[in-house]
Amino acid sequence: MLNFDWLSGIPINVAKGIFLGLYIFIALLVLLIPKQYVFQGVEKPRWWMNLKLWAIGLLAYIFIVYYIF
Amino acid sequence: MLSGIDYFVVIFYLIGIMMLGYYFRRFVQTSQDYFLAGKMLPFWAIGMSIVVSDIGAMDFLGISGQAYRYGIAVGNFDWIGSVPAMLLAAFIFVPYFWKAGVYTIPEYLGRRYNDSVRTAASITWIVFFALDLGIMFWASALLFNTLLGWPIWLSIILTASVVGLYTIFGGLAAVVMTDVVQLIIMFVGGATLVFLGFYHVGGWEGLVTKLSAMGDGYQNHFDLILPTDTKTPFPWTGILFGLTFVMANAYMIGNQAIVQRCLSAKSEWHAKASMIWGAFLKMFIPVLVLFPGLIAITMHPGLEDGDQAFPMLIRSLLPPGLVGLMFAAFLAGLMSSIDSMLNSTATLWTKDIYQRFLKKDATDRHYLIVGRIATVVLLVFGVITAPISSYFPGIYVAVQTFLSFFQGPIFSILLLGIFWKRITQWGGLAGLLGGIGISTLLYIFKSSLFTIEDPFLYVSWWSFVGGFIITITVSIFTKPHPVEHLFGLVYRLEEKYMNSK
Repeated sequence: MLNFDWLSGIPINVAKGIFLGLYIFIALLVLLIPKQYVFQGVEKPRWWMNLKLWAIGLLAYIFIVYYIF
Repeated sequence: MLSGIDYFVVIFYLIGIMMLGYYFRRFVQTSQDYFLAGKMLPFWAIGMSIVVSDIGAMDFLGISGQAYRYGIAVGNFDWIGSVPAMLLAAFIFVPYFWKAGVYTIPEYLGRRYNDSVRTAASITWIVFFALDLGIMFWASALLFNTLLGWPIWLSIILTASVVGLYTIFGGLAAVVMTDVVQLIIMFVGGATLVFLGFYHVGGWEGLVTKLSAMGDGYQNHFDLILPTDTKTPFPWTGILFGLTFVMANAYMIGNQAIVQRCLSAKSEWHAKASMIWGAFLKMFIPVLVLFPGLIAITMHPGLEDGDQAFPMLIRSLLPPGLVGLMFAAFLAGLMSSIDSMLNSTATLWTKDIYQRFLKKDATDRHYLIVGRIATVVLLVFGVITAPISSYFPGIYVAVQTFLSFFQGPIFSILLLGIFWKRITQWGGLAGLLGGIGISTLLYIFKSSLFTIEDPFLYVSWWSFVGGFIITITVSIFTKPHPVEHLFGLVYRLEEKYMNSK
C-alpha cells in the first residue's frame, strides 16, 4: 500500500491525463481568486499586473510540455 | 582545463560580485534593512534570487547526470515540482506571511500555534543550514579540485571570503542583488552550452534520432511520466503524491531561505508577483541542466558515472573564454546558495532564538550586530566543518534525509494552520512531532516497507498524511484559539468574521 501498488494498474496515458487534469483544476482555482485580492498593494492597476494572467500563462506552458512529453 | 582568458573571466566575475555586494552595505542601518532589505525589493529581483538560490553548483552535475541515466523525468522537479507549489505560495501563503510582518516562517508558526512549534521548526532549519554549509563548501571544493586542479583549501577560502564580505555587510539586499547577476551568468553560461550542444548533434531532431537509435535502454528518456514499476526513483505516483503534493509545497512555502526573499518585497503585490516570476524562470532550469545530460549520451556514451556528463560536455564543446564563463556559472550557483543559507540562518538565530529567549528588549542596533556576528560565526563554522564531510561519505545524504523527515509534517501544519481556524496549538505541536516520528519509522523500516531503493518521495507523502491526521485529531479534542487571536494568520478569517457580524 505504501508503494502505491494499488495504482499500478492505471495505464500510463491515464496517469498523464491525471497530471494534465491537475493543471486544468489549478487554472480553474486561479480564475476563482477575486480580482481585488490579486491587485492588493497596487496603487494604479494595469492589465498586465493581473497575476491571474501570469499564472494562467505559466500553467498553459507547463500543460503543453506535459502534453508533448 | 582553464586557459588565461578563462582565468580572467573567473577573476573578473569574483571581483565584480564582491564589489557589487559590498556596495549595498550603505543601505543597512537597521535590523530590518539587514534581514529583510528594508522591505524595499522589487518582484523581478526576488524572483531571480529565489531561482538561483535553489540551484547550486552540484545541481549542474547532479541533474545533468540523472538526465544522462534516467532521461527527462528528472525535469519533473522543476516543472510540476515547482509551478503548482509556487502558485499556492504566491496566492495564499506569501501574502499572509508578508502582511503578518514576520521575519521567519517559524515566527508565523509561533503566532499561529505556540513557541514550542516555533522553536522546534527554527532549530531544525538552523541545524540543517549549518551542517549543509560545510558539506556544500567541501563538495564544491572537490568539484573544482577535480575539474581545475585548484587546491581544496584555496576554493573554500576564496568562496568564503567573497561571499562573507558582501553577506556580512550588505545583508539580504546584497544577497538578492548579487543573485540577480549570478542568475544572468548561470543562464548565459548554461544556454551557450545547450546551444552549442544542439548545434553539434543536429538540433532537436538529431538528438531524438540518435538517442532512439541507441537501443531499448533509452526508450523512456523522453518520457516525463514513468510507470509505477520503473527502476528509476521517479515513478509517477511518487512524483504526484510525494513531490507535487508535499515536498514541493514544503520547500516553496516552508523553506526560510526561499520565503525570506518574498517577505522583503516592497508591497503585497510584489511579494505575490515574485513567486510567479520565479516560477516562470524556473521552468527554464531543466532546459539548461537536463539537455546537456541528454546531449552527452550521444557524444560520450557509456560513462560509468553520469555526473561526469556535464564536465565532459564542457571540455568537448566550449572554446576558451566560454569555459571561464561556465565556471563562473558554477561559482554563481555555489555562492548564491551559500549567501542565502548564511543570511537565513542568521535571521532564524537572531529573531527566533536570541531575541525570543536570550535578550528580549535590546535596541534595534543590538540585533543588527547580533545578526552580523551570527553570519561570521556560521561562515567560520562552515569552513571549519567542511573537511569533516570527507570523513563521512554518506553525510550529504544523511543531512538531506534529516530535512526530508521534517518536510511532510511541517507542510501539514502550515496547510491546516492557514486554512482552518479550528486547528489548535497542541494539534500543531502533536502533528509536527508525530509526523517526524512517522518519517523516522518509515526510514528505519524502509527496506521492508518500500520496493524502490530510495523512497524519499513516498516517505514525504506518508509523513504528511500522518502529520495531517494527528493535527486534526488532537485539535478536535483541545481548546480552540479565540477567533481574534487568528486574524491575519488564517485565510480570509477576518473578512468572514466581519461579514457574519
